[in-house]
Amino acid sequence: MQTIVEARGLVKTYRRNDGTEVQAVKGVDLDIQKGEIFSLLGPNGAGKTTTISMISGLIKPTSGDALIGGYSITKQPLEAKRLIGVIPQEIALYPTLSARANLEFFGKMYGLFGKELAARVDEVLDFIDLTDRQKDRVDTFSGGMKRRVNIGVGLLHRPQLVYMDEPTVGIDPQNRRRILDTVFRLRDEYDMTVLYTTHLMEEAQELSDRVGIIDHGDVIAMGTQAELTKQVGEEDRIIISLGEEQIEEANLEPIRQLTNVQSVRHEVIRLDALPIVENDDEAVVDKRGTGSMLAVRSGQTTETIITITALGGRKVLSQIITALNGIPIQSVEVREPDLEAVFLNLTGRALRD
Amino acid sequence: MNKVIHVALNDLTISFREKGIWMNLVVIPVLLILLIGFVNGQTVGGGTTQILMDVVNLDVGEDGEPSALADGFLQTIRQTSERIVLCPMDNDADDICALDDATTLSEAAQTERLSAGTVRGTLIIPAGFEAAVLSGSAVDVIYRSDVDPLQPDFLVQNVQVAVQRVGAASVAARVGADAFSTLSDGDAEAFGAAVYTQAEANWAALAETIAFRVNDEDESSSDNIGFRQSVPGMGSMYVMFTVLAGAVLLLQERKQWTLQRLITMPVSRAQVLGGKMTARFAMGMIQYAVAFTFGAMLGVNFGDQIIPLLLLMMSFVLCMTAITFLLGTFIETEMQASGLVTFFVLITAPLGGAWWPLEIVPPFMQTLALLTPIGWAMRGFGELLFYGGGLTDILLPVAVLLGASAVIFALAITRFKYE
Repeated sequence: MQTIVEARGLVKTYRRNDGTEVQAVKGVDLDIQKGEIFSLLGPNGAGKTTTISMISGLIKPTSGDALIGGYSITKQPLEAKRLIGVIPQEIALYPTLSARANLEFFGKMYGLFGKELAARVDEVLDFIDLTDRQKDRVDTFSGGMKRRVNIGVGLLHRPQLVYMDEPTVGIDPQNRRRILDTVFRLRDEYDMTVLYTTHLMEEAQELSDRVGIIDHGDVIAMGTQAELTKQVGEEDRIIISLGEEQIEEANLEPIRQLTNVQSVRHEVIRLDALPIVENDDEAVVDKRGTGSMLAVRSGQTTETIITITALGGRKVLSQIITALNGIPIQSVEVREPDLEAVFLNLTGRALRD
Repeated sequence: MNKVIHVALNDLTISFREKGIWMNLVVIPVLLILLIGFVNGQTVGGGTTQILMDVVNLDVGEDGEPSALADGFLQTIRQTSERIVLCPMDNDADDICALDDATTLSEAAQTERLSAGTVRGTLIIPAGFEAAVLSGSAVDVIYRSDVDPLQPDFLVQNVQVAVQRVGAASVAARVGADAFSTLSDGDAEAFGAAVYTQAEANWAALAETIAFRVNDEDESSSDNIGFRQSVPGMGSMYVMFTVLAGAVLLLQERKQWTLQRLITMPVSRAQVLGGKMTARFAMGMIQYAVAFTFGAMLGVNFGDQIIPLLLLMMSFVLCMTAITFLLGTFIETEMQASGLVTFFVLITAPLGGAWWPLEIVPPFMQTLALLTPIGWAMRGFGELLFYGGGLTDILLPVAVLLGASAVIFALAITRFKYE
């Protein structure tokens, strides 16, 4: 396959106000193939946006470079940028202008004029399903509609490569589904390459042909999902929610003694500290990764979670519940090896941490 | 270039969609032009500005009193125009001459006052002036001014008129005395003096030779003079508000990520910045257009020096544009930006002479005015609108404003952050 992004040794160092330096990205190497959906998965603050900002020409790398379709983003930025459509995490639109006026202005910045511009704007409005609202001001739109215009701007010039930086943050499930479907359409119908950043394991898992896992400014693993999950072996993860019930470390010892159990850890999650999407309990579930929606609905503020890795998780489940010795359980979920497990295995932390 | 224009047009469209834009761009400036214009029209009184000239009269008798002829010469100057104030002799209770209780002026003090712009000219009447005039001998009356000798100057023309009158009266007196001594045995000297006095009186009875006019308008309307101050003054002040508001827009663009999005597109940073600067510059010129159009509707005659006027406006707007982008490099919140802009405008506008003519403030305030861009702009407007000046009279203000713009732009561009 043809490589469309080839990043080598990307480093970004910032100087703090007190004069000390902090490395946000520590030498990232990336190869993205033409026509694939590549997800950069990592927790908040891992360096995803900084990496994407460097390879989109927004910020200059402290060192290293990236070739976009053979053009250096540092030495031939204008040529490289012609190949890229950037869809930032923020709604980067002029709120007092209409959807059409926004698209027309940004289209001109991509070098589109006259009939060609009008045709592309019509095409994009149709693609994002906002033809009937094209003359309305963007600040009258819902969050999901703004997201769609935000995506549309990045597609005006039919780029070979689309960067999407956490495009589903803060939107309802219906619009989120629409965006994920859009990503597939870009690859399948328009033959575009998509570089997608997310901190949501489920999105990376659903969308990606290949995934790069990034943490603390380093890409710590890269490959197809099968290649990555292979790294963590065959263990299932058993996630037990105890609701607000507290538990001592000593209560977990009987579980650790069970055959096939590899590891046991527990944590107390503060639910009121989680970003909750309005009218969207499911998004909270995604961030907690427990599958439980009861906690949110009952208004509880903390949740105790026990995470156990074990071979043949379903088979040992009854033994685990017995070992808990009557501690009330709110929910139980058994997950087969996934990207969350890979991240946990590589960093010792959950993605949500 | 195309993209620069599109960025600028987009910014202008957004600016004109802001709530309250017409209030800030038209309604408030127009009301202030009216208000400040009326106030200045009353305060300045007589509808014009007094012109100060320092005088050192060395032609004094043994009793220390000025000679009659020197005194008459100064009186002749006063007669040429009521606008001329001779210092220190015509100083008033308000210290119009800015003498701070001094009653005489040394030559050194004169030079200093002239350099500082306190007075527009200085005149030295030499010792022996009266004797020389009456005997028909040559005598040098020294007049000094900073005004370009190639440019017409109201004051020097009036001094010349006075000299001409004194000279003509002197000739008449000599001719009369000579004729009298030939025809009679009387006192020829006394006769000559009498002829001189009569000749002087005849001159004075003639119409004002040189009037203080900066244009052909009806001087009886004191409002026009007030508006001639308030139109450029309030216009410039609102140019500052309008252009400097761009600092808030830059902040908003950075916050809503549209600035960053532009940088990820095939547009150079210079094009983005150039477009945004063009938009702010255009807003400033539109603001001036509003103020001066309203001034014209009020009947203010801005003279025929359109190109110098435009050049001055453009220099000032450019300077404000540069300051806007410098502000954009360090302000972090909209509140901070609004506070800083309001503080900057409300301090420098009155200091620079936007609210009242600088001629009525003490000399140290006039010096402070030159530390502000608007002070230089108002100095230029004063030259064009009050003193009938032309291109050469505004070259210094324009050069200062353009020089400041270049330095500030250089600083802003090197510090400007896009992300």
